Amino acid sequence: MAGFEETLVAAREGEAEALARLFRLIYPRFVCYVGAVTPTDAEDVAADAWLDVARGLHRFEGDEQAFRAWAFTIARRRLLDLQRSRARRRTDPVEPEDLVGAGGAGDVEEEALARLGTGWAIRLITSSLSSDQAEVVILRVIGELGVDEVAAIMGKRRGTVRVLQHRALRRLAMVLEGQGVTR
Amino acid sequence: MSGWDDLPYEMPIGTIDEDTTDRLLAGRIHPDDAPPGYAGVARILQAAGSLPRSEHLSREAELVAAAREVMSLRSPPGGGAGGSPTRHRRALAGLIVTGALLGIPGLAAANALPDPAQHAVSRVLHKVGISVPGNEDHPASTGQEISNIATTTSSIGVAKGAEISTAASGGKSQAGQHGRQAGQHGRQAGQHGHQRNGGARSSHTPSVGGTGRADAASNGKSTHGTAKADVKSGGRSSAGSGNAATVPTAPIEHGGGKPAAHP
Repeated sequence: MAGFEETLVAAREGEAEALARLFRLIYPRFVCYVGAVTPTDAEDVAADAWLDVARGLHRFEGDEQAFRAWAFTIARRRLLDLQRSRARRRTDPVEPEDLVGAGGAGDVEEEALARLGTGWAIRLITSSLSSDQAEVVILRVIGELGVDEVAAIMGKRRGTVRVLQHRALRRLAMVLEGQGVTR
Repeated sequence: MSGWDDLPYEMPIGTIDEDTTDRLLAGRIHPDDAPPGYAGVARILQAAGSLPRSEHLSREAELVAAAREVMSLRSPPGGGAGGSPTRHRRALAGLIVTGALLGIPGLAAANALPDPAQHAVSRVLHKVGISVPGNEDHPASTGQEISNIATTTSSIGVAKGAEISTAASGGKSQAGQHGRQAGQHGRQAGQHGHQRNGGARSSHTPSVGGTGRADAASNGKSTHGTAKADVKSGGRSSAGSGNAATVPTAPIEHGGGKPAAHP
């Protein structure tokens, strides 16, 4: 399997398999990231962001981590464009009790978490946290990005991102505790 | 009274440090090893991070093909290293503008531009204090001046044409020097025209210059003198004659040649 650099060079040349590898690397993350904010448009915005990445591929220099950060910067810009065009933020929140609704007499936590796919987890995050907190958590978890990269993408200071993520996790813990997901 | 273990079991939510936060977010802390109160958080974050890749890859072929298309529209493969097409276009435009800015005055200074361009550039440069050839006043500075000559001169025929042409061209015109011959041709043409087709063919008779053409070209009917000469001379005496033509002038008696019937 080719390393990231070889993949990047081949993708720049328009080689289909190399482009497919980059696609698999970022597109599912785009869908999850965008879907956390606007589930109904996730695929379209992610596709647009992917094409923007392809267009700008010749400009990019860096390793895989830098590529993800660069790609998420593009995806976020696309997302903001969509939000601006609609002038409202669309979310599809799920009530936390839905997460444990099928629990019954068994182990509520295990049953709930067994059903807890990525989509549910992301919806729990977005419905429990402020938009900034949720975005920090999603960029860190879905994008596998570091604090500095998230700060750059969101246009915030490193310390601000640190505070946001700390409060986000504490808030999540409180929500889950209150709903009995965590004992 | 109840013992301490009768209290509802509730794990306190403690404070976590930066390193723990980072490890939780990176999915590197197992829920069982999570700090008190954060086991659920660890599970949620692990679930969020385990991307359901396959369900989002149904459009892979379509979007990879689309990516190849947008990349091929952008530039040919391997063309990325030299910069974007936009950058190339800008560089080319800059080169053209620079070339024009430097080249045109250079050519003007060398008096190498076509006359109209030379004159135009010379006038522009003269306004900014740069003198290049061709900046002198145009020989036929005004049509009125030429018109005055045409309407007030006592000369007739070839002599009149030569006078006007000379004034219009600033003395460069050779009109009149060959005018005799042309006049003769004109007369001959007029005679032929009269004899044959009412002079229709005579308008195509080449004339070698000067106002003799006026007669030849017009079958001797010209009432605008050098204006006709100008038209038929292919613009050799353009300024003066043209200007004269634009101002009503007194009819010029043709220098010879019997007027041919107008077709």
